[in-house]
Amino acid sequence: MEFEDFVRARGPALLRYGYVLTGNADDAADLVQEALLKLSDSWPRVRNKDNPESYVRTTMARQHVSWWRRRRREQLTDDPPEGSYTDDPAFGELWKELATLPRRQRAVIVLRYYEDLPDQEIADILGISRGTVRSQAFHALNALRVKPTVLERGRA
Amino acid sequence: MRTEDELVEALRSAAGRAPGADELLAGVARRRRRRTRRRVSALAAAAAVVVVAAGVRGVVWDPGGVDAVAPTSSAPRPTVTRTLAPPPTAEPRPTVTLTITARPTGSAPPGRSKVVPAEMLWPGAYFTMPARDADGWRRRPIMGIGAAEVLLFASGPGEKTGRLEVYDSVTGEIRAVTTPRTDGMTGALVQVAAADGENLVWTSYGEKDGTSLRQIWTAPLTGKAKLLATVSGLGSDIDMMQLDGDHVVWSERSRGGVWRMPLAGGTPRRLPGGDGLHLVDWPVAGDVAADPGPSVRNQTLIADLTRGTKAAVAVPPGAKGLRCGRTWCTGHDDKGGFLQRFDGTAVTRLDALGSSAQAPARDRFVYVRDGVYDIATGKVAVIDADDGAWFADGGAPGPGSILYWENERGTLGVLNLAAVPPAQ
Repeated sequence: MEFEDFVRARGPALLRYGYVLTGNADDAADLVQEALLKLSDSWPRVRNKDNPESYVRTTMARQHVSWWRRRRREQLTDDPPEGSYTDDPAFGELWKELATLPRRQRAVIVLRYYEDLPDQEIADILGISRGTVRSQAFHALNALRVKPTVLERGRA
Repeated sequence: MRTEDELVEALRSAAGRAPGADELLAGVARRRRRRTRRRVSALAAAAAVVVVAAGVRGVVWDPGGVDAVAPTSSAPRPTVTRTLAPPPTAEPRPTVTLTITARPTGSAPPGRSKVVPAEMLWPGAYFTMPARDADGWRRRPIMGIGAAEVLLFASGPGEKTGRLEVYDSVTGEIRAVTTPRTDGMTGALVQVAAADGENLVWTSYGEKDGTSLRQIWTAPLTGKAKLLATVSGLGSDIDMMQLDGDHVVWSERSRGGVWRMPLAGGTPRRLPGGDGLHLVDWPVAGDVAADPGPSVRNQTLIADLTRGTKAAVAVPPGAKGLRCGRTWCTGHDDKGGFLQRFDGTAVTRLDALGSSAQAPARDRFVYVRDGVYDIATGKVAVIDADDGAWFADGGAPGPGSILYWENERGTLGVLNLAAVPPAQ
């Protein structure tokens, strides 16, 4: 598969992921494009040895919580995405409150509940300890008033 | 309260409103063209960063919001400017911004202020180190080993390969200790780790033939790794592990219970009097797991496993998530976070500071939203990181407690609490 084919095939899914990570369309497009630029540099190696989608998703998560935040300081959006789901006020409210989370907490929440990754894998992706993932998830769920059903996802 | 399913649904529904992918390839091409120009101007940008750093601006909390009953100085309150933080709930929470004029690195802490950048308050405890090694592997601090050294885990992509290292903050040298291996298991190379000046212990987790296993390894800081034990089943989930001279001690998360075995090898021994307990900081144990997690169960006792003593924790009405070391506890209630002695005295409100969900590190330091609150002095050491600091929980809340964060690109800032001077 060529790089362009990969982008055409997986671009929409990556933008959805970028959107829930960043909370707005402009930042999502920026994040995906930057990650794809990095992927294109490594394409010959990644295409043959690794999973390109996993590579670019990991890049996006790390960028989102590291240098990315230095380019755009906390930007809060009060605008929930338009669409049918906003007919349910509960989800629209939750989406708004996600925007108030610190970026690293939001990244942990997205990786846990959108990407459905176990905590150890989240720790590996973000380069932090498993305990820190648990702590970040705890604070985020507390802020969102979400009752956790398990102490830790994918715990050994 | 909401459910996790509602959160999942909110995220999935929102994802459906993501922008279209029509412009993606064109956008990547534009970025590639711009990158050349950006690289040329990188040097100028680096210079600008230095200028910004000379006027440190830390977002901190109102020290006046701390009703200090614990030992405090009589320092005057710094001038503050009140602003509103983004409202996480229906009720906005006030925070405070404080502009601190930075002094040259290495100078004394500014006057009698109670809110001070960490590198000024404790210059001997703050240092920076490279975030990656020569191979591009990411380094993750695990814990402090005394005042000058830090245990690191350097890992390649996905942490499938890694190396345990020791960084000397005085000489700036990094030395490799050992390369963890999993003996055919698939899983995390290093999950829980601890070290002292002579030895290192760590656990690897994985599955073999469909069974979850955890291996406990040890290595002298100058020598070769040795497999000490392999545990499976309920006992395989280890919440805390520490060294005690020539022994390793650990506790189980699910059932509680503290184990001890010689580094020379042998059979793990379940400590009498440790049933249902979790290691906090050897020999101190409690009745809830000490590592941070979502449980809001209160710790109700503090045990000393060498003396065989137990003390009840005075749990105030409405308290949640109370976590205690030998003397001090932190917890929260409907109003926010608080600090108290285990006997319920010396209550200090930390509402505006945002305290963390673990016992105070070294029985002295409370990790708060943007730094560290020092119980002994009432001062707050502010960490000027864009997104706050991580705590490296290999040593937490014990003597190896450190915090780390991303500094300028490519370096990590580290605050080694073992190097903080004793309170006067």
